[in-house]
Amino acid sequence: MKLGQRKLIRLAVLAMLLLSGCADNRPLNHRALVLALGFAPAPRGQISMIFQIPTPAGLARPSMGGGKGESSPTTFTLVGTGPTVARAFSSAQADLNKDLYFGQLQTLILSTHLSARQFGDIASTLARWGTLDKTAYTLATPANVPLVLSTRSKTTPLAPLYVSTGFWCTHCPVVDLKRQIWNLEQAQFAPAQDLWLPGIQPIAVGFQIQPIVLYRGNRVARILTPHQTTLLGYVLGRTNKGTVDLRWHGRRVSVDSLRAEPQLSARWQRSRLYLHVNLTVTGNIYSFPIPLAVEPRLTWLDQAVKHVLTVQCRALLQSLGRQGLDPFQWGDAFVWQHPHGLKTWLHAYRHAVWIISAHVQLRELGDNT
Amino acid sequence: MRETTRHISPLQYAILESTAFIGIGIFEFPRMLVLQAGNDAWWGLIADGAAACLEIWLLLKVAMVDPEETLLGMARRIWPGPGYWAFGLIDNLVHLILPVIALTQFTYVIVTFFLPDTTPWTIELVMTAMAAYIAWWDLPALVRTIQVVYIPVMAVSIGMLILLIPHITNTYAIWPSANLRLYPTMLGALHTFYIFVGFESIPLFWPYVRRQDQPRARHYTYWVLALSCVFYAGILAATLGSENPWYLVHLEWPGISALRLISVVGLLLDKLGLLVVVFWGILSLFFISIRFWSLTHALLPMVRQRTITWYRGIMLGFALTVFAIALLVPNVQVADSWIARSVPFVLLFIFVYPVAFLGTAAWRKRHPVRDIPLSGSVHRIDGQSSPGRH
Amino acid sequence: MPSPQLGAAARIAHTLVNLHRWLAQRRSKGQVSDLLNALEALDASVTVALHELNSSDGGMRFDGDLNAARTHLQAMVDKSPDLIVRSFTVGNAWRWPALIAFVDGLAANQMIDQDTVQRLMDAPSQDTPTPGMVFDAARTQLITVGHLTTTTAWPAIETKVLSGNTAVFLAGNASVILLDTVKYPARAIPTANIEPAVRGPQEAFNEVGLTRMDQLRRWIRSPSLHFDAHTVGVISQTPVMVAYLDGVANNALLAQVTDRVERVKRDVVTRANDVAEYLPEQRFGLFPQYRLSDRVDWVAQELGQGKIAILVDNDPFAILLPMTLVDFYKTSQDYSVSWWDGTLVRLIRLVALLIGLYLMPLYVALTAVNLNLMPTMLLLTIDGSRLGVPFAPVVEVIIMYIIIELLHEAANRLPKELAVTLGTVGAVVVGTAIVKADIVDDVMIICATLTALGLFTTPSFEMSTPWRWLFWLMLFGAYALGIFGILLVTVGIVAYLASLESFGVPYLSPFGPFRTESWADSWIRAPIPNLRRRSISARPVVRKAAAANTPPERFHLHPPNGSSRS
Repeated sequence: MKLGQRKLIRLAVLAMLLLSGCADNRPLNHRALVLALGFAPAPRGQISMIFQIPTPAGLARPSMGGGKGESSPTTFTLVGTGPTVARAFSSAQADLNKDLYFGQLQTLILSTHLSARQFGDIASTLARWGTLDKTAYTLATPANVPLVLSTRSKTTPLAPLYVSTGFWCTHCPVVDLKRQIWNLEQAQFAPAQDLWLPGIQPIAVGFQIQPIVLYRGNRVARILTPHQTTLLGYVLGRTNKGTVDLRWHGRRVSVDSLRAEPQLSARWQRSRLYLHVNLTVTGNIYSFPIPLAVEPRLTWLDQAVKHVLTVQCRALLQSLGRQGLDPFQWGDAFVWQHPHGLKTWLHAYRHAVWIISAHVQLRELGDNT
Repeated sequence: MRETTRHISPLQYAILESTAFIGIGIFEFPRMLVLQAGNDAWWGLIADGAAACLEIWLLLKVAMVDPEETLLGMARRIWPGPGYWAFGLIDNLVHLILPVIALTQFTYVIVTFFLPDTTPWTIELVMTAMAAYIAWWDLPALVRTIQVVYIPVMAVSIGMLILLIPHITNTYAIWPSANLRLYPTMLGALHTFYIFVGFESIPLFWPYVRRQDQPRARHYTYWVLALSCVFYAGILAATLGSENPWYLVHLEWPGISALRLISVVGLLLDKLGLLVVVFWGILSLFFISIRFWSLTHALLPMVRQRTITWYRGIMLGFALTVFAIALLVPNVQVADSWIARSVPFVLLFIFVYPVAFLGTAAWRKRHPVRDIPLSGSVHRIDGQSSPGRH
Repeated sequence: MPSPQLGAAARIAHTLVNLHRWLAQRRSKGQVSDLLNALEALDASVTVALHELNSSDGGMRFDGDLNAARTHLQAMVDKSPDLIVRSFTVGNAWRWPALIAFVDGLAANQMIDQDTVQRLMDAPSQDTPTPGMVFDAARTQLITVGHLTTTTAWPAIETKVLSGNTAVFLAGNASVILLDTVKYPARAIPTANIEPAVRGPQEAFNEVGLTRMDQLRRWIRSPSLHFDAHTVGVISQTPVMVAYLDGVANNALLAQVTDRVERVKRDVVTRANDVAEYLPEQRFGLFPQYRLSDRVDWVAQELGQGKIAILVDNDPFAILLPMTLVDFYKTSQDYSVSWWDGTLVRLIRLVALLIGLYLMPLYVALTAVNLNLMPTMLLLTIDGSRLGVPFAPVVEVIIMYIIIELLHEAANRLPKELAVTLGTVGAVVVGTAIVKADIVDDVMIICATLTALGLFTTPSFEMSTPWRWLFWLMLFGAYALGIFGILLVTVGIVAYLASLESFGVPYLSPFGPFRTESWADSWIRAPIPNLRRRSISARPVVRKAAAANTPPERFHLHPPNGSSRS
């Protein structure tokens, strides 16, 4: 081989390396960072993908307060529609001169009106996107998804960061409803567990993240009320700041900052499933109309809180059980140990006896005893 | 002072031995195990550990037949003639399959999670080139490189597994089953034994350990196995606990998917778990390097060459071959099917040959062949370009 | 009977002498004066050659002929004015012809005037002199210079005279008295400015070999400190001392070093590096395999570790070897401060190295390839600061890095006072202006500054060079394959370092191979009483460097309660 040929080959190899090896080198300003992604049903059975991308104004002041800078929007939304997720994505990409990039996705918002087929398509597509951040928070909304994604937050300049900044703090929200894309994908394969997602609603000052949306087989089965959400949060061990309102001789008494450590156990007795939920509840008292430092009053409070919680939780869990909705891991644990016992379990779960017990400890009584 | 360049310490041997197998199975584990054995996955892992222990015992016996001679050097005496050639070629084939598997596995990991728009062959090319570069200066430099990098990588991996503990929500899945089902367990164990394929390099590394260090090295080998079992058990627990078992078996690389859950808010790089993927890639890289070295050292005695020039030439040839074969793999599914087909063959080889070898060695001891030299002719690279000594 | 060659030479010489005379008569003509000078020099050389050819030993020895000696000396340096050759007589009565030769400026005038010439000339003399008597008297009674040797060989005389000795020729005596009158014009013993230390010894070497040996002797007052003298430079005849501690330094290592030093064949050796670059096995190796140091205490300490120092005359820097990577990150000050401090600064150097090498490539990888690894807020901040910047991150890095290197080199070349101004120009003017001009973004300026700080924190600056080269490789890795590329390049660098051996010592020792017992003095610096064993890397003959020393018992200065004061 001549020297010239060798050089040519080396150059060709180097050129190929440079050209093909740098395919992923796309600088920041050539990418559109999708911070929030929404999915909603579109007419004729199609899927709409809604992308929320920061504008240059949003990039210039991502950490500054949102109040004064409302003159120019910090994000814009891009919508792509198609029969499948892939087609919807392509349609959106065609409308933008930058590469839609999901590596920094903060929030995934799914319309509760999506059909089971659409939901399944979304879940499986998301699972295959390798660079998609699987820790992005996932929420469901009964509201119009583009509306949710164009809502501004008064407290967070970049609205898409509202959810993530809220969820970063584990003990900040009333109920820690943190769910990630990961949970969504995982639930697709869980044999007995049903998916639940936090619901998000746009309100006047930003968003409300409160109700739990329960799914059954990729379809929304039930949307809990905020109070039910708190109750389910006790059983899931996710309620941080629950409140119970009581009446003491006709006057309102409020026990705050209730949180529960649940202990769940199941037992079979004569072919009947007994599900035990033992809650260890702690809370504070800030609102009590008369001096408190009397032992019987505290005992009454403990008993009253316990009663309210056990009764209300039992009612909720029994209604969930009758619907066959299992947001817990009981079913999965059973099927894991009894690989062929799924049917048995589902039947037993619907007819299970719920036994709720609670042990209440009131800790902070304030300075005014 | 020559000694520092010709020999490896027992610790280096242990690290080498560990890297010789851990780079191949770390990504896919424990998918096949959970898929086949279900809730008996733990028993499957224990069965694999026991089988690996037996393999080590056999291979150490093989190595001790002549502690200062490499495997092929001994094989020349044990099975002279066609037997030696057949053995050598099969051994080479085994060493050729393994780097191809490791290379394709890791390439698709990188392409999936890190560099989706980069063509796989680019990754394969740079990985092959780097693996060949690491092996370029023969064993001592190779071992030193591994030694410097391996321990931090393992420390980071263990740190990441610890960070994964808060994400373990499916605690029910971690508990082993009470009723053992033998057949699925054994099936799972068989399909997962690739995590320990690589221990067959023991007789190749053995003569590089100083004679006085060899008893210590023997103990280290078992320690390496024990610690690796603990490491794999950590991965099994972490993946079962953080992913549910039914999701786990649908994931191509469950370990990586689990690590991707780790996100530490407030650091310069917050997706620390994802970073470990690249670190594990280094383990794959070392695995491939060791295979290149092993391949070359399996072939050099056959062609009766022992100079560094020959070593480098043959090693580069093998590197190109591995790269070329890896190019034939269009996607990870094909790579998986290759693994599924080749692993039983590899397993058969690494269990059958030591038994046959030891049997023949015992027979030869009773019926020595006069023509075959009984000692000397260590097939090691000299580092000089002097002609071979045979 | 003269040989045919000798006859031919004599005929040529005769012709030349005639030509010389003919031209001398026409000297006033002027045009041929240059030619005449040249011919005079040639004449002298030929005369010496003839004399040497005629003498029995080929002219390699002095034969007692003062005229021949004068001619020889003058021909040696071709009338160079610094060589002084003076005739005088010995003994006020003997008036015995003698010749003295020395190089003006290299020899001590006082020793020549008072201790030699004056003493010889004024010597009281009564007996009838004989050559032997005069020689003995001069050697044993008259000359008061301390260091005196005798020789007859011209090469030795020439070398000695040219290195500052004084030669005394006595008529009729074949032996020449050589006096050690060496007194180089030398710098005073300088402060160690190149490798500064806040505490501890501050003394550095100067250029004079003997002074340096003395300095080392002050640090190590032991007969085991050996200096093996060698000469390198075929023409320059530069003395080189191989210093080591006998009984500590590895003999095989010493033999290897000596062999490599002796194999240096070069006409003129002007500095230590001229010798040092001959020593490593890898000529094109990127990483330094020896360290140059002008600190006396540091060289003494390294000798104590079993290493070998090579002192090349006229260069204050001693070559220390063998060296491992981590050795380049140690300084004298590390041992002059508390071990907490020593350890802290070493770890800071390690962190600085990592920052210098990785920060900018990481910037490129995280802003162009692996964007998903960075915290969202930081990425958005960078994205925001890059809004008007037209260049890709890698181009920004290249621009800033070139600016750093330019500033560095300019600061090196300028006088100290101007260098400060340059720093201000670099930091304020370029830094501020380049951001305002939207050529690079704010975050890049921070990265560039930290990189510059990181790369130039290396205590031994020769070690910063390889990293500055490897930086580009790292940058390419980051550009092409992101974090994966960075890690691949890192492994490549480790593999390269692992392949290096400096005089048989693995370069990555004590980490590759692991030598845990040497870790106490590596990236950490354990308390000095705990550094009981020498680092294994140089394979010293004796590993033990200090006796075991348990901390002293607690001592109560104040008497316990109840006891009486004495």
